[in-house]
Amino acid sequence: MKKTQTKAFANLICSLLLLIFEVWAYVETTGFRVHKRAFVQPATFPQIMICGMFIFTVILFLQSLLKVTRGMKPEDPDNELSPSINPFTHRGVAAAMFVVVLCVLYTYLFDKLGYVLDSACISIIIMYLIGKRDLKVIIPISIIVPLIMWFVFYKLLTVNIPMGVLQPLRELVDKL
Amino acid sequence: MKKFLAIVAAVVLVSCASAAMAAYPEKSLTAICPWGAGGGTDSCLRAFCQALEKQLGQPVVVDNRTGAGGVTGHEAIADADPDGYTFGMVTFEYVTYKAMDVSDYKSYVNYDPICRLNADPAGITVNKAWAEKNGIANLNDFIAYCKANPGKVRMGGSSANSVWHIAGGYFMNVAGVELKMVTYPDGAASAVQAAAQGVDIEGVTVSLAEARSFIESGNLICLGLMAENRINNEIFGSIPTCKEQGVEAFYATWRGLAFPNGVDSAIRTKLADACKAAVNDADFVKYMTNAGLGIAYLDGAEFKAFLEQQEEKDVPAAMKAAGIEI
Amino acid sequence: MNWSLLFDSYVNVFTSVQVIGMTLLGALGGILLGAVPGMTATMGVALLIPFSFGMDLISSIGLLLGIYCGGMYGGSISAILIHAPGTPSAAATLLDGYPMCQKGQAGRALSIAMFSSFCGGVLGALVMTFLSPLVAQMAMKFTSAEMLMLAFFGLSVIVSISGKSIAKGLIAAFFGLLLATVGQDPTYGAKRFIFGFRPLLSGFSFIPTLIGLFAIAEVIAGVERIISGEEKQQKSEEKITNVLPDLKTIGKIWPNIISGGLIGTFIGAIPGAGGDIAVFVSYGFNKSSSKHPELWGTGIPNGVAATESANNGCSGGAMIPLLSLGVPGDAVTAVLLGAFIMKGIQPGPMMYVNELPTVYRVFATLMLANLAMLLVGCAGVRFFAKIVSVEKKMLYPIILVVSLLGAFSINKSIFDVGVCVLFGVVGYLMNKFEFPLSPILLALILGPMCEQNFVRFVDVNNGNFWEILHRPIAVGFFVVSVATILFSIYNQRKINKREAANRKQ
Repeated sequence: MKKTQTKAFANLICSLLLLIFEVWAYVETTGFRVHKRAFVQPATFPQIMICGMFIFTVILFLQSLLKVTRGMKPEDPDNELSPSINPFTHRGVAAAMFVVVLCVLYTYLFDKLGYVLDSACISIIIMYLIGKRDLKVIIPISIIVPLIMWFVFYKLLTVNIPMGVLQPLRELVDKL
Repeated sequence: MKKFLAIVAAVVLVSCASAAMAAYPEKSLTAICPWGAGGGTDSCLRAFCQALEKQLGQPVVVDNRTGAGGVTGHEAIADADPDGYTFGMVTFEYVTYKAMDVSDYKSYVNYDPICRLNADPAGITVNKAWAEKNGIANLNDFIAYCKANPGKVRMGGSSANSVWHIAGGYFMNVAGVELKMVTYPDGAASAVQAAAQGVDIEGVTVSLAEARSFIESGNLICLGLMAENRINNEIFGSIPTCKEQGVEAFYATWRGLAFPNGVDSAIRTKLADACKAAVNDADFVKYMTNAGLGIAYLDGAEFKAFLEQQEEKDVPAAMKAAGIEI
Repeated sequence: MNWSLLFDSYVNVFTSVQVIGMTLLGALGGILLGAVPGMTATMGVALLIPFSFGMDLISSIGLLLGIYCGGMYGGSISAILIHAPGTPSAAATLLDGYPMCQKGQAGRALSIAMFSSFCGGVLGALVMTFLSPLVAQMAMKFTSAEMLMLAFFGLSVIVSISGKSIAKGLIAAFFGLLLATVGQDPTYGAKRFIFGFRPLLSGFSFIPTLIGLFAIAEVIAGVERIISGEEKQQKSEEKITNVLPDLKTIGKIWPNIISGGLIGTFIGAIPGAGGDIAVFVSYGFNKSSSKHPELWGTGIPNGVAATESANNGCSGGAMIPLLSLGVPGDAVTAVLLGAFIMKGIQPGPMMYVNELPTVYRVFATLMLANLAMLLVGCAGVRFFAKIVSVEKKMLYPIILVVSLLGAFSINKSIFDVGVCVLFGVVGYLMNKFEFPLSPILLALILGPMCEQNFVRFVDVNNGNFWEILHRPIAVGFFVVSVATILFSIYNQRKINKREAANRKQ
């Protein structure tokens, strides 16, 4: 196993990314409004938190750097193979990313399609994707679960949930 | 021919409109509440909706649209479909949003106010032990003490830029004193608790309903109520107003109802009349009395003028005095 | 203490069919509501208040307390079974509850959670009955300095829930504290990290963030495991012969139950601090005082017992300042305050003078509510445990759509659904690279409390922070926090050494 495949190396990269994030966040806090009469400025607390995060990121960075450059004992947990986030070599990661994309689409379509239809779609797609291919099972389940959820929320808890194109259904339930 | 068509069209339109009006409301109404379920505003609205249902004969469903300090819900009222089936409860905070640059909507421009339901005056309430120690027995003693110690007396409002925080600023303007306003983002209850302990702050500028249990227990004493008249009940009846003591201070939080702009005027009138009747509903009156809330009805036009006065004059001046920077 | 009146009140409450019926109904509703991620006990209580308009006071209080107690337990069901805390107070239950479920002990975890909830609740109710005035006086002492240090004490637990790498745990914690500052600053209303995007004004909503970090992240990871063939379907081979834990288990967990219940009761009694803080404090305390801290987090009954007894202890605790001072201890009791007022009763010192029988009946009703929760819970354990045997390929999409609805329903905002998805991705990545999630959660709860009280304390003392030395309770909490941190670091080193030794073999 190459050094670049160990968890220690992954930690090194993580800490570098975090350092960039912290510098950016700190620069951002300098733009906050300054309050004349305040003893503690609105920017103070976030800045302290960024400093705290910075200190421990540096510690993580140094720890990992030492481990990567000097080598580790075989029993060190950081000497194991790091998990992958490359969707081209790992089908699992690719599927996870696809689910994330679906979720983003789901959010976008939430009030356009309405909760029930939107949920039924995403649920059928994911079930099919992860290997449940029996359409006779997945279609009814995917429709009934969101429908029950909607009914419970709308009727019993009077929480109004967007129905989108299925709006007539709500009026039907209202009449009953 | 054209003329004839136009007449036919007009007749059809008018009859449709009147048919719609005669039938209104033919389905359930939605009342948007910009604050969380179970809070003071929510309970008040739910109690009112029950009274309104009796008038309209249709259910009124409360829809809590919370978030961003009430901005989300208030904007949802302005953006709602103006078909007359959606209205909302508006509260004091929304006259501050434009000034605070958290919303583009103005209270009296982007909404169609239906009526004001309630108003609760703020009171100058201080820790009793502290008051006795410094020889403060009434409002004028308090003002004299504040003048002798400018910026030393610490008063708690509720969260930043909330109604009670601004109340402190208003009082400073009227009485010509300098107080140190302390914010309590958790809400008025924790400010009242601190004042009752006499730790961190000396008093609060909240409504009597908020401070009630500690006034009853004798930890806090209300020096002056910022209202025209004393409250007419046995619990608060003995509390003097600021006016009685020569300080012309009138400040209250309030709750009202508003439509989005563009609701058909016939429908609007019908709902406004129903609201006017519902305000006098016995159950609603009983609820408001129990909750220590005052009913202060204003009709749509009066409410609109009141909002303009608040948003353009009173509140910006008080915010400036309270040291709120925008 | 007026014993005969207390006895009469118990008899009165426990013989009224209407009160018992309403309480059972409330407990059932509460458990079901609590089990759905995004539906909290607060919401349940608030939504049912209009239904209680027509009832007499004790029946409606019974209904509401039933929901309260049921909801507290209900949250643990989804935490144990699907890695999604149903309520924020159940967030610590999944630390040990979910691993237990993965080991095929879902039913056992549920019954332990239920039993501990019941015991914690009873303990809270007893403290409330006998020590109310004393605890209320103590809770009232908590103003800015004490709250600041209480928050700090809560944060000190982070080290012990950090897992293997303390550095990573603390990075996560500070990241959480930073996330908590997004939105308007609580003291002056200045905009922070908004980027001109108005829905961010009130920051990331807590519950959608919670659901995202745990439930959605778990779904994403689950899909990945299934596709790469690592997912093992759990067979529900576990035979649930008894819905209550056996005596041997009870013998092991009772110290955790007692300490959890007491911690929960006391923290619950402090206005502004509730179950979500108490569970982590209890978890941290019980882990540190355990002989085998290395087993915590791997699925041991003690972890479930410590957290579940704490969150139900809170229900009794939170009632104390409500009844004796008129100050609600948490969000649910704030709603209950409204219910009392609606009936024309103002809780507070005068209530003990004018309405003593009512006060005692409320005590009895809380006890009844805990019993009702146990009863309904017992009936439900077998049923809930079946969820585990649902095929994972169907379960994950269902969890996804139910959780996203929960995220939506809190503020009815689609933005919150987006927040939930965003934190799902964050949680997935953090899990992958072994950053612990619980510190973020604790930081999100405690961050605002820390900041507000710090800013306020400095403000009221005109910039002199060292005034805090004049506040003995605050100093005490500070000392305990530092001790906790040092002890947890020592403990973690011991755990890491033992594990390294195990690996060598």
